[in-house]
Amino acid sequence: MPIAEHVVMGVVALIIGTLLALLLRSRLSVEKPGAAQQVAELLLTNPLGFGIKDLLEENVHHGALKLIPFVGSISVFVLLSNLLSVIPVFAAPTADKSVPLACAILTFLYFNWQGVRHHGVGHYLLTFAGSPRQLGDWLLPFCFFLSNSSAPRRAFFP
Amino acid sequence: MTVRLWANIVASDLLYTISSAYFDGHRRGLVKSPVFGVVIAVLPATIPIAFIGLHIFVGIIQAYIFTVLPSVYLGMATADEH
Repeated sequence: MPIAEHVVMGVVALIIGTLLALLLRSRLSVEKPGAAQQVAELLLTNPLGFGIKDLLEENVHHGALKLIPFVGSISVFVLLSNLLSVIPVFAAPTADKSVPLACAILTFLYFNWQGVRHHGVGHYLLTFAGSPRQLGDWLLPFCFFLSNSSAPRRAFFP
Repeated sequence: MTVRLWANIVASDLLYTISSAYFDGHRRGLVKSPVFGVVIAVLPATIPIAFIGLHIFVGIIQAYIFTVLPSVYLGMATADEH
């Protein structure tokens, strides 16, 4: 059985990303940052506030820095995958639905895991119900059902 | 997340693939007039390039959205007050 094109292109994107990161790490300098280092730093944080670190610090209020490796890896992989088809002979792995689905499922599992780590299982499940205590405890099962039914959908649709 | 990224990249890929093929196909039979010949020769180069530029833009925007959404979901999952 031949290996699917999007799998090969996904591996190519992974290898390109890893090689770029290794190359960059060997040339890191505080006194004289090169062009590649400055681009990488802009990807992480920039004055416009849309770097990976900026977005995480804006949205996550507890321990945003420790989430950078996962979110950064996903976004750099998606960026490289999207731009790969610009190079002749290559194709974008994200043009096959299984690659974005894999990234989305990983993200879904990761943010739920972080939620469980932060709150504990019971309290995390309770947060899906919103704030039913302000309305009355009898609303809790209803809110819980409504919120939980929407959570898995986020992996597929925004 | 999946459907938006996938649909955008497929659409963007198709746009510049089709534009390249379409203008290349037309060029073969329409080179009798010199002026029209120049136009027909320039178009095949410019239009796919424009769509490739659009594809780069779409690719960067989609990667940005794929960073924003995990950040928002992580923020919601780890927020103390709901």
